[in-house]
Amino acid sequence: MTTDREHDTGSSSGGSPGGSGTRRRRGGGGRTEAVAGSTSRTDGGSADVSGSAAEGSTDTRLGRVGGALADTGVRPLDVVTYGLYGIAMLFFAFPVLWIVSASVRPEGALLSFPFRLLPRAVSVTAYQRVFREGMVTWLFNSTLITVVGVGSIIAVSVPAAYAFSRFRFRGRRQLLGAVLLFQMISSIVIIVPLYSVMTSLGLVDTRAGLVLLYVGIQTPFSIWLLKGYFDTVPEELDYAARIDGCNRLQTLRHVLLRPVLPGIAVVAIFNTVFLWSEFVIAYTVIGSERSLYTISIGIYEFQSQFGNDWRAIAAASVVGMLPLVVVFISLQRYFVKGLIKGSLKGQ
Amino acid sequence: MELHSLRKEYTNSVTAIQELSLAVNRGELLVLVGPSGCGKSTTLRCIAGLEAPTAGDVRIDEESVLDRPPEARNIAMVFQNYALYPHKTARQNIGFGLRMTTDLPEAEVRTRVEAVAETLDITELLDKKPGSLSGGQQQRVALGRAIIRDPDVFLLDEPLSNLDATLRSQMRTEIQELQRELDVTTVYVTHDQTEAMTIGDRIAVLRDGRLQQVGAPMECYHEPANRFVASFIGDPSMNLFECRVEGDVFDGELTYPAEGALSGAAATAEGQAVTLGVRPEVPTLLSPGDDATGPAFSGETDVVEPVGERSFVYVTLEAGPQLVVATVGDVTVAEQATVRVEIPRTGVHLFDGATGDALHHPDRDGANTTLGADLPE
Repeated sequence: MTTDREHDTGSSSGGSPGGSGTRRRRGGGGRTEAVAGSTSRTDGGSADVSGSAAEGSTDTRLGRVGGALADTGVRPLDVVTYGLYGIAMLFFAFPVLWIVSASVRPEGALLSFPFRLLPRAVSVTAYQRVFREGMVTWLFNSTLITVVGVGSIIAVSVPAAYAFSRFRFRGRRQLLGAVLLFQMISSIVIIVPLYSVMTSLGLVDTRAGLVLLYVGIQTPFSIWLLKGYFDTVPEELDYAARIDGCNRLQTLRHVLLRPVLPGIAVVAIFNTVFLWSEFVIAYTVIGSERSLYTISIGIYEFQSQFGNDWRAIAAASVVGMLPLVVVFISLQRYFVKGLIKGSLKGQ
Repeated sequence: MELHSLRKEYTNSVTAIQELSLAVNRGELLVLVGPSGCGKSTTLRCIAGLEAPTAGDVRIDEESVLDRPPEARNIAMVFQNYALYPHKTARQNIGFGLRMTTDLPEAEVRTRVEAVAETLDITELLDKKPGSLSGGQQQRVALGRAIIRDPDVFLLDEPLSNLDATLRSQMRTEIQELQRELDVTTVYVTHDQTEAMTIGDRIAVLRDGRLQQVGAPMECYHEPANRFVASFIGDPSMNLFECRVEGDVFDGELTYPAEGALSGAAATAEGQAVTLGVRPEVPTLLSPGDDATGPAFSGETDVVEPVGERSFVYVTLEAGPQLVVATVGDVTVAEQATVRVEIPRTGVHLFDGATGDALHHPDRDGANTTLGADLPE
C-alpha cells in the first residue's frame, strides 16, 4: 500500500483511496471525489453542485425548489420517493457499474486513487485477453447447455404441472409433497454422490450429462411454479376443450398453453439465469475438459494461486452478463405479467 | 336422452347423485333445479362425459354413451362462466369444435361460423377476443360455439347466473326461442326456481342428489310432490304450518278446521303430525266489516313489499307464525297495522308431517285432490 496519493493518471496500482487530510464529497449517483486538503491535484479538482454551504441559506434554497416544483405539479413527496428509489437502484447497480468500469480500465488503473467510476482512459486489453483465452467457446457451451437445458426443463415441467393441477389420482398430494421436498435439497450437498452416479453412467465430461443434472435439479421447482399458474386457469376451459373434441394433450396445446405463458416465461427466466451462471455442478461435471467450459468456469480460469486478473474477470463477467440481459428484456413483459397474475383473484 | 339409476360417489364418501332416473323427450327442454350442492351440475357433467358415474347408465338415442368420451357423444355444453378460450377471437372460439372434430375445409368452417353469428346477431364481434366483450356478448359466443356442431343434446349449466336481471330475462327468452328453432333436446341447470318455471317444458327438482319431482312447471307449482318442492318452487315460497291432527282441527302453529277432504287426507298420514301449506296468492286480506266465508285469522302486518303489479304483505298471526299474502295492485294496508286474513279451505295443501310427502292438493278449478296412495317415489 502506497502512502503517496495517487490519481487516475498515475501508473501504479494497488493503492487505496483515502488517507489523512482528505475530504470527500458525495456527488449525485454515489460518486465520491476526494478533494485534497493540503496537496494539489493535477486534475484541478471538482466541486459538487449539491450540499455546498457557500450558496446562501438552506431555507431560501428549499423555498425556491419547492416553488419550482409546485409550478410543475410535482409533489415534494414524489421527489423524495423517487429520489430514494434512485439511490436504492444505484446501490444495487453499483457492483455492475463497477465491473463494467473495471473491465475497460488500463492495466494498473483498477484500484487507483482517487476512485473514479468513469475511468480516465479506456482499454480493451482485458476483453482481448478474454476472447483469446476461449470466451467464444465458453459462450457457445453456455448457450448450448442453457438453451437445451431450459427447453428440456420446460418440456418436462409443463406436462407434469398440468397433470398435478388437473388430474386426480391416488397419491397426488404425496407426490407433490415429494417434489417440494426434493426442491429443498441443495444440489451442492449431494454433489459427491451425484459425481459418482455420473461417473458410473459415463456422463462426466459431457454436455449431455450436465444438462441431465440441471433438468433433474431444476424440474421440481419448475413444476411447483407452473402448477400454480395452471391452477389459476378455470377447469371449465378444459371441459369446453374436451367437449370440442380435444384429448388431454390437445387441450394443453391448444387451450392452456397461452394462458400459462407468463408462468412459462418466469420458469424460463429463472432457469436461464441459474443454468447460465451455475458453477459448482458445472465445474464438477465438466471441469476437467477445457473444450466444454462454460462461462462460469472460464471466469474462474482467471484466478490462480499467483494472483487474480480482475480486469479479465470483469471483462468476462460483462460478456457473460449480456446474453442474460437480452433474455430478460425480451421476456420481461411476460415476467412482470406473471408476477402480477398470481396476486389477482380470478385472473 | 335417458338416465337410468345414475349414481355418483366421490372418494371422500360424498354421494352427489343417488339413483337418478330421468327421461328427456326429443326436442324437449328439461330444467334441473335445486339448491346449491344438490347434484345438478354433477348430473350434467355425467351426461357430458366429463365425469364417470359410479353406477347407472346414460343413454342418447337409445344407445349407452358411457364408454364414449365427451367429444364422441355429440353433445354441446354452455358453462356458467362461458369458458371461452381467452386467447382466441370469437370466430376462433365458435369454429374450434368444428376444426377439431371434422375434416371440413376452412372455407366451410368459416361459412358456418358466420351463419351462426348472424343467427345470434354477433357478426360484428367475430374478430374480438372474449376479454373485450360484455357478459351478454360472451354468452352469445358461448351459445354459438355450442350450436354450430348441431348436437344431439344441448347442456346448459347455469348460463345466465352471471348476468344482471334485465339481461338475464332477455337471454332467457332468446335461449327458449333458439331451442325451439333448433328443436334440440336440452337439459338446463339452474338454482333459480323462477328461471326454471319460465324456461322449461318440464322441471326436475333435485335435493341432496335425489329426484324430488319431475313434471310441468305449473304441475310442480300447484301439485308439489312433497314439502321440499312446495317450499322451493314459488316466490315467495309456500306458507307452511306445522300442526297435529286433534279431532276435527289441525292444531299447532295454526288452528285450522279439519273438515271434508282435508280430514280424509290427514287420515292417510303416517302419524298425527301434518303440515298445512298455503300459496301466498290464496289468503285474502279482509277489509274492516267484511264477513269471512272461510277460516279467518287476525294478525299484524310486519312488512309490505310492493313489486309492481303485486304486493307481498308479511303478516304475523296472533298465534305466532308469519304468513305471506300476495295481493294484486296497490295495497292500502299500512305496516304494523292490525288485519284479518281469510284462508279458504279450497286453497290448502296438506303434507305428511313425518315424511313430507304430499297428502292433498286443492284442485286448480276449486275442487280438491287427495293423493292418497298415488305418492311419487
